[in-house]
Amino acid sequence: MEPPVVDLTGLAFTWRGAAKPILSIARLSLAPAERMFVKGPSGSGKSTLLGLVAGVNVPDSGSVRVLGQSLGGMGGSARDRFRADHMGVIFQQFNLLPYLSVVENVLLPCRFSRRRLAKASAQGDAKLEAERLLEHLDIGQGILHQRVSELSVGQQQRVAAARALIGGPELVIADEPTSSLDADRRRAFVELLFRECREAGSALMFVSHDSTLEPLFDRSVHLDEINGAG
Amino acid sequence: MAVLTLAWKSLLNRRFTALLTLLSIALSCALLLGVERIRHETRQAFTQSVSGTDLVVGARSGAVNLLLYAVFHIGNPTNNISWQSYREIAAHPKVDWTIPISLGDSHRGYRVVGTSPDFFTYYKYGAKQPLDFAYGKPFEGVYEAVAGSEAAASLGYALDQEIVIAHGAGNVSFAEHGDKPFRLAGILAPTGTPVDRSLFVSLQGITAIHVGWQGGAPVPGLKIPASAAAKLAKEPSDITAFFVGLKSKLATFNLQRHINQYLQEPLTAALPGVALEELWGMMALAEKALMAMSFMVVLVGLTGMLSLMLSALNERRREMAILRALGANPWQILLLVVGESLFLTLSGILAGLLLLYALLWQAQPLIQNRLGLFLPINPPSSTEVMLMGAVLLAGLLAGLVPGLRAYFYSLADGMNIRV
Repeated sequence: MEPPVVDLTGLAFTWRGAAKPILSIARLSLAPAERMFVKGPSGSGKSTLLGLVAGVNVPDSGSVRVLGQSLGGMGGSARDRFRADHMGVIFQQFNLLPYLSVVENVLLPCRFSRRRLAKASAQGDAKLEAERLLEHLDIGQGILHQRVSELSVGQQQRVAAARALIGGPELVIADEPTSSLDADRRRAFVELLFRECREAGSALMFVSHDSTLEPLFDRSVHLDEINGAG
Repeated sequence: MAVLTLAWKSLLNRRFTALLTLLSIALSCALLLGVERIRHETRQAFTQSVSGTDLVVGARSGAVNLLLYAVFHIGNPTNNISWQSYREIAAHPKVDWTIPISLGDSHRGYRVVGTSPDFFTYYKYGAKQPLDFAYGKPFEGVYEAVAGSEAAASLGYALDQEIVIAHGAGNVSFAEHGDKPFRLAGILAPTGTPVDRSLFVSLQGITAIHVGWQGGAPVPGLKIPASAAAKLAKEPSDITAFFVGLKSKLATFNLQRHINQYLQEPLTAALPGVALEELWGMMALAEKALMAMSFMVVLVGLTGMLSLMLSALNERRREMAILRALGANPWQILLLVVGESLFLTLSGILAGLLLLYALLWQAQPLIQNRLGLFLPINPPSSTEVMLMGAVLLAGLLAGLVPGLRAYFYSLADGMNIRV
C-alpha cells in the first residue's frame, strides 16, 4: 500500500518567545489524492500546521512524514528541495510576483525543482503545460500577457492554483485561498481546484474558516478538536 | 542561477529607482577614478618635469632645494657656480651634453633663464619629449629671446615682440635693462612644466645686459650701448646651475660622487627623478585628502543603494515568503538580495568608467590647453582596477546588510506572509 501523503504523529510546536505551544497534535494523516478540509478560526494555528507540513517550520517534538519520508531527518535545504519537488502552495492572497508575467509566475516552481520541470515538460514544453493549466483554470489567452497587478483577485488565485499544480506535486497546500473571493466564486474556485488536483493526482490540504465549503471535501478536520494545545 | 534572473527581473520592475541608484554609483565611481587618474597624471607630469637629464648640478645645498630653483624657478639659489667649474665638468669624458642656466632676471613676473641653444636640443620632459616650437625658432643673436607658451599667451606676445628684461625676480622692479631690449624669436609649445612660464635668452644676452653693472645695480653715469655690450660679453663669469646628460647611465653615481667631492668649489649633483619624487612626497597630503574625499563620495553612493534596498525589503517580505513556499532556501533569498546589490554596483562601476572615458575624451584638449596637463586615454591602470574592485567589494558588503536581514526574515517568517 502507498504511504500516506502526510503523516503527523505526536506533533508539538511552540513559536519562539511564546510561553506555551500553539499546536499539539497526536495524529493526523492524509491519503494519496485525498481532499482534506482543515477548519479552524484564525489564530488557531492553521498556518503553523501548514508550515510544519511544508517543512518550513520544524516541530519541537513528534514527527512529520511526507510521502513516507521524515522531514525531521532532513537538513534545512534538503527540506526546501523536497518541498520544491513535491508540494504546491496557495496563499490567501498576493500570491504572485508582480515583476513576472502570468506564465512566468506559473513556471516559478520549475525554477526551483528539476523534477517539477521534467514533469511539466513531459508533454513537450513546460510553457505549453502552464498555458494548458491556465486554460483549464479559466485564464484565457488574452490575460496571459497582462501585468499580474492588473488581474482580478479571483484571476490571481487561479494563477496561483496553476502554479501550485504545475509539474504535478503529490501535495497541494492551500491556506485560505478563497477568503479574498466573493462567496459565489468560492465554490467555483474549489471545484476547479478539485478537478485539477484529480487530474494531477495531487492530495489537497485545504485550510479555511469558511464552513460552507466543508461538505465538498472527502474529509474534514476541526483543528480545535485535534489540537491538544488549543 | 534561477534566483539571479529573478533578481534581475525584480530590479527591472523597479527600474526608475534602480536607475537613479545606478547613476549615483556611476557618478561617484567616475569621480573616484577621475581623481585617481588626475592624481596619477599630475604626479607623472610633475616627476617628469625634467626627464632624460641624469644630473642637475648647482652650488652646495639640498637636492630638493636645487631642483626647486633650477627646474621650478622657485626660491633663490644659495650661490652661483663658476664658469670654470662648469667647463671642467662639461669636459668630463663621461659627459654627453650639458645645459647651463643662469637665473636672476625676470620679465613682467616671468623668470628669464639664460641658457645655451643646447637647451632646445637636449632638454626633455614627460616621456622624454623634446621641446617643440609653436612659432619661430631658438634664439641666435645676443638680444633674441624665446618664450614659454603660458608666458607668451598671457602676455599676449607674438613673434618679434620687444621685451625689456628687469633685474631681479619680482614682478615690479626698478632696475630695468631698458637700454637693451630683446626681440622674441620663438614661442614654445605647451609642456605642462615650468618651461611654459619662463623666457629664455642666451647666456651672452644675460652677460651683455649686465655689462657696466656692479653689485646688482648699474654703475652711475656709465652707459654702454647695446651693440658694444654684445661685443664685450664673451663668457659669463658664473652660472646658476647646469643639467648634465651622460653617455651611459651606469656612470651616474660615479659622476655624482665626483661632483659632490669637487675640490675647487662646493657643488651638489642631484638625480632629478629622485629629488622630484621627494618633492612630490611633500605635497602628498593634499593628494591623499582628495582621494579620501572621493572615497567618501563612493560611500555616499553605496549608502543610497543600501537605503533603497532596505526600504524595498519590507515590501519584499511577501515575495520572500512566496519564494520560500516554492522551495527557495534561505541562501537563495540572500543571493536574491545580494545579487541585486552586485548588479547595481557592477553596472554602476562600468557606467562610471564609461562616463570617465567620455569626459576624458571631451575634456582632454581643454585640460591640456588650460592646465598644460596631458591626460592620456589609456586603459584602466592596475590601481584603477583595484579601486573598482574595492568599490565592488564595498557594494557586496552593503548588499549583505539587507541580504542577511532577508535571510533571517525568511527563516523567521517561514511561509507566513507578514506585511
